Amino acid sequence: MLFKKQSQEKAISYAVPQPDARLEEELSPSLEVTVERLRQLCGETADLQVNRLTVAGAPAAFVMFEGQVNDQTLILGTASRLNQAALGDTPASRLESIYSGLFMAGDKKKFATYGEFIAFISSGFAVLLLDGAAQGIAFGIQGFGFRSVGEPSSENNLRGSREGFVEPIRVNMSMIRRRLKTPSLCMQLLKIGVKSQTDVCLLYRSDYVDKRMLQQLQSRLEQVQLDNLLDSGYLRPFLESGPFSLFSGTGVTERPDTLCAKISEGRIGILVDGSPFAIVVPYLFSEHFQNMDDYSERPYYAIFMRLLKYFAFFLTILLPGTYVAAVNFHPELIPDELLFKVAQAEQGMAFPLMFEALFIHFIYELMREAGLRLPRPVGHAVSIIGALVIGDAAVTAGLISTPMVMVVALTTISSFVIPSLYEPVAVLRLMFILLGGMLGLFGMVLGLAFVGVNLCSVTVLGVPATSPETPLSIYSLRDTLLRVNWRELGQQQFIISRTEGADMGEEGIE
Amino acid sequence: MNRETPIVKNHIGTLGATALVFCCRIFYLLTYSPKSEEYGGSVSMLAFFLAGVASILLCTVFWFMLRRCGAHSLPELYQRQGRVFATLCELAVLGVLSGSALSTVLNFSGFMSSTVYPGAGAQVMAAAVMFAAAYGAYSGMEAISRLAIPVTLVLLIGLATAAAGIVGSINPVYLIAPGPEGVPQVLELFFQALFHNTEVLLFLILSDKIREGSPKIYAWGAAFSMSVYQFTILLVTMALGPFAYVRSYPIYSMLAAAELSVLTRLDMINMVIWIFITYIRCAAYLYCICGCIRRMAPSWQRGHVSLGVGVLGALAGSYLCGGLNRGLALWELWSGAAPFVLAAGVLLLSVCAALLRARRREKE
Amino acid sequence: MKKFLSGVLCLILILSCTGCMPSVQIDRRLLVQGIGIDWTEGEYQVTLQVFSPAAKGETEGAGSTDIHTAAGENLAECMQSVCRDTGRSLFLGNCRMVILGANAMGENREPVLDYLLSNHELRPGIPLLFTEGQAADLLKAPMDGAEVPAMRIHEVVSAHIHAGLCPDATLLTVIQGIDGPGASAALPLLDLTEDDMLVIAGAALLLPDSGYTAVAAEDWRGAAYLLGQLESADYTLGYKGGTLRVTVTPVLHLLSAQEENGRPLLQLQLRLNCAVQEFTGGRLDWNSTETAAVAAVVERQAQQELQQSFGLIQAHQADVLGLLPQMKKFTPKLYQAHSGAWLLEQAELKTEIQVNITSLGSGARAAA
Repeated sequence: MLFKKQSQEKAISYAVPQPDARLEEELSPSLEVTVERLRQLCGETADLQVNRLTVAGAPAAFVMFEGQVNDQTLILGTASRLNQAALGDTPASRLESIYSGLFMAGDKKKFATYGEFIAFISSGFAVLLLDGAAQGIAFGIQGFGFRSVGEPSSENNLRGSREGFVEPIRVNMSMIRRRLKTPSLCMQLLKIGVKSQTDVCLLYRSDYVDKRMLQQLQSRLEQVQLDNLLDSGYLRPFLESGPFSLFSGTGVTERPDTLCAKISEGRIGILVDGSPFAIVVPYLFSEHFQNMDDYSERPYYAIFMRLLKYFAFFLTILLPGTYVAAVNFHPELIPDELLFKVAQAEQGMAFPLMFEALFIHFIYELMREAGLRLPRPVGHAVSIIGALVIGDAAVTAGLISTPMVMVVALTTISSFVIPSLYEPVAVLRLMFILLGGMLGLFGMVLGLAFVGVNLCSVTVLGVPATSPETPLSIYSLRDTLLRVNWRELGQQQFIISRTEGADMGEEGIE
Repeated sequence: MNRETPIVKNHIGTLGATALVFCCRIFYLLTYSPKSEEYGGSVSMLAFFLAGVASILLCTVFWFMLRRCGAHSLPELYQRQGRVFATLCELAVLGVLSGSALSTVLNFSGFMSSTVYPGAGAQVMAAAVMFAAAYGAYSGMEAISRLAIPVTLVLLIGLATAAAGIVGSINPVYLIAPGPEGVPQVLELFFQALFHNTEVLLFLILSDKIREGSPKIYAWGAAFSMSVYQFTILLVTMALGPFAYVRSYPIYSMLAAAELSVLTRLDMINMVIWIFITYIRCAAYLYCICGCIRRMAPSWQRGHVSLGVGVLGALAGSYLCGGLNRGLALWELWSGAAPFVLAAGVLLLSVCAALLRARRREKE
Repeated sequence: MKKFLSGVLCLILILSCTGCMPSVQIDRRLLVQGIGIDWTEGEYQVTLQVFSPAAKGETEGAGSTDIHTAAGENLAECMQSVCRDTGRSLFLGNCRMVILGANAMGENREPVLDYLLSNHELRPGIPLLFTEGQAADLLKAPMDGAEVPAMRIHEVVSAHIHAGLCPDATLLTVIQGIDGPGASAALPLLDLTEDDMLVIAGAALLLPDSGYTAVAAEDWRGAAYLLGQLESADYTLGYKGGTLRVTVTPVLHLLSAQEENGRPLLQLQLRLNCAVQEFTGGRLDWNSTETAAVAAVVERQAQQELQQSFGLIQAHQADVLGLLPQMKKFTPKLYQAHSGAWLLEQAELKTEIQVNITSLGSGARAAA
């Protein structure tokens, strides 16, 4: 009995989210019944506002959630005009007159179910109910507070736009529309999240996007089973397929100019209401090493910076492991003078080199996480502790050696050059330290082969994530490994679905 | 959501396939040693060139035989001839592929444990390579062939760097053409190289998965690998001279002797590349082994098969590396005509069976 | 859950590999900088100069080095003995040089070279040096208080090689010579003065009969020309009653062997750039006559050195110039018809030297 009860509880806790059947009910013609039913559905929530008024002598009500609607627009622009208008005789005709005859808001919709009703008022619409009409009209006069458009926090550029996405999806959509004034820009709205009914917008260029790619993406989004969608990151795993990979075939961006550039290459952007990060699908591995500044600078410098980023990537994942492997297994790789210094530094160290490397990287990750979570006024303390603990005390105490501090410093600075790859880099770094410390360069190379195969197996919507490096397309390298000047780049638009290896039809690994 | 994606015929890119053939064929260059003290590397150069040309011709002929029978790959051909026949062929092909994979690992771990990691257990290296290669097999041929492209490029850069580092020691005096007296040695080495080459079988198994699965791809890969063989053996012969005979692994010695400015340990840098080559070759063969097993037992999941093959391969590799004579027996068998005879036998029997069937149908 | 368990399994597998590979902490390694091999009283004596950051001359080492010695029946035994005595493992990958004592390179030459070949940590390009005394003494010498004396020895020898005063010998070239048709090799010859100062005495020629012979540094320069190992040379020559100091730099070196009248002929084409540093006999005229005359003086000197070196090599029957491999390739019939000794004895050297005067010094007058 006890076990049975537990299994039942477990079954309830991990049940697949199910839509609420009550939301499919239609509105009642009676205003009171409708309002009462709404209160029941909303659990007598305190922020539900019902403002009663009279329209053409009949009872009516504006329903909204507190703080969501622009009160001034509601009073002056909307409610006041109702009294001035000549409306029909029946509730239905009055409703129709109001809907089609009066211009009271830029966005207005008619609805008939409680599900739509709640969705609209949750999205900041003000809903007008007329007694006798089994429908309502929702007016888009949102007035909820949101963060103003500012500089993106995660993608800094020297040149280029300073605008970043914000939480409301409509604002983000308008930023894209403002930049791409082409009729081929399409925005398709979906609702994802059984309970949250979060607005999700697919953006693409109908003249560039591959239709099969789009269809595949749409079908995947339809299969998303989530109770609540609160951030764009929740969707990313659903967009990928194939075996587990450290690297993702989807990317995120906080910049509208970046998203416009990606969409113009035939990719699909996904905006999620409530998240300032847009998803880009598909996302090539080489794009982690690009940013908007590359296209504003002279080509020779842009090429230099890109190559530097590639170098930084390999440096950050391989340097600690290579150092450990070289010192423990292959000292002949180290120049003599440096080897003498390392040997001197390692004299009297308490721990083996591999453990030193693991220890210091672990400390660094702790400090990094602490620095992210701490409030700003206290954040400075983290840097002081870091400098004292790692830079001085640990070395003096013989826990780590000075060359190791140098290695860690180089490693961490290199990881900051490509912040979008920080997650795989942090894990890979530790993996390579283990491999290097236990199996030497042989283990590291096997690990690198493992990572290489893992990366090469990533295919999103039929596009290999490692293209155009492999499968090699020398022509496409002009904008990945290198950055040729705009006169050449502008001659032919890069379209993602035409990448070498992208015409594979269905995905599948065999 | 359905987690197990259906088996779909992916298409390996032509460049990836060429790079794959190249990497698989170039593997044995690492452990090359001159067979003739008198003529040095010139015997090997001639023999490998002729063996390469012969293998291209063989591959072309075999491929056209397949196409004549209406099949795009060897498994497709013998699968059509009945279940029993198909199973026997699969077992034979499985034997050839397993032998090749094991001999790769044996060769590699023997080399590593005697040069780079003296005193290390060859078993550990064999097991590690097998496990890692099993993951590659699981990831699929597309991933392996994509990885082969940058590895090929890096290998060429590595060899070019080594050549630049050893150019000061080159002395053409050591290059002596084999006259008529050298012909028997050339022939012996030619047949050895030809029979040792199981890449033709690999290509014929994978040809339906390659985008334009024509023998041109094999020809390019083989020609490219031949060129690299010729260049490297020429370099070793001219740079090391008699030193090459006293070393078990003259290529490694040449790399160790090469110095280019601050790069004094080109041997270690090149070892990194050779580990990749070994990995790709092993993964390719393990992938085909998994394919054989899955055709015989279609209900088995890809992940389980790959894991099983990896475990078995690791155990077998460790066992063979564990004793001096164990690996030697396999090596001697694989240096002979056994793999070639098996593979050619499977192909010819399948073609005969297909033609017989076609004739029977015509009569009916 | 499956993925998590797979990850844990992988981690356990990886961690269980600890100890399977020969990992040695850097402070447990003996970083050998120089190896000295002697043969005394019927056994090998190995001297190792080892970098040791903690030691300051505790065991006869100078600077940051320690000296470890061991004796044994063979070299492997000696090395193992050092490991046992110190409790550390030897690392030869950074070794700068191997100094061979005269006694060790006699009849015991082959075991020594075999040991050096069998150790894959030693690079084929490792310099081999020779001393008529004890290799141990050279490694123990302080070398002007250098941090690592072996590095100082290496630098001094390299400078002499570039000046053509001693041969450039590595394990690779020595094996090529010993295993080649000539069965000979040339090594730099080192010596110590009474004040423990290093002296490069010239070349030691390892002969086919397991013996050796010493060639003075001045006598070796011609061979350096022939081998193309000379980077630049300074001469002090007599000219017009004065002294001419010149620096000569070879820019073209072509050596070939052929047959002439049934005898081997070694042909050398050499182009030298010559810059006059100083002339004590007045001023030089920058005209074709003067330059031709200076060039002729330099050419005569070079010819003299070439013939002298060649004569010495012929006399000792040491084919350190690679004549026999050349004969084997280019004149196989002659090579097969005669013995190596006959070919060496009968060989003739023909040189074609072109001297380009690039500078006559700052005091040279322009042509009238």
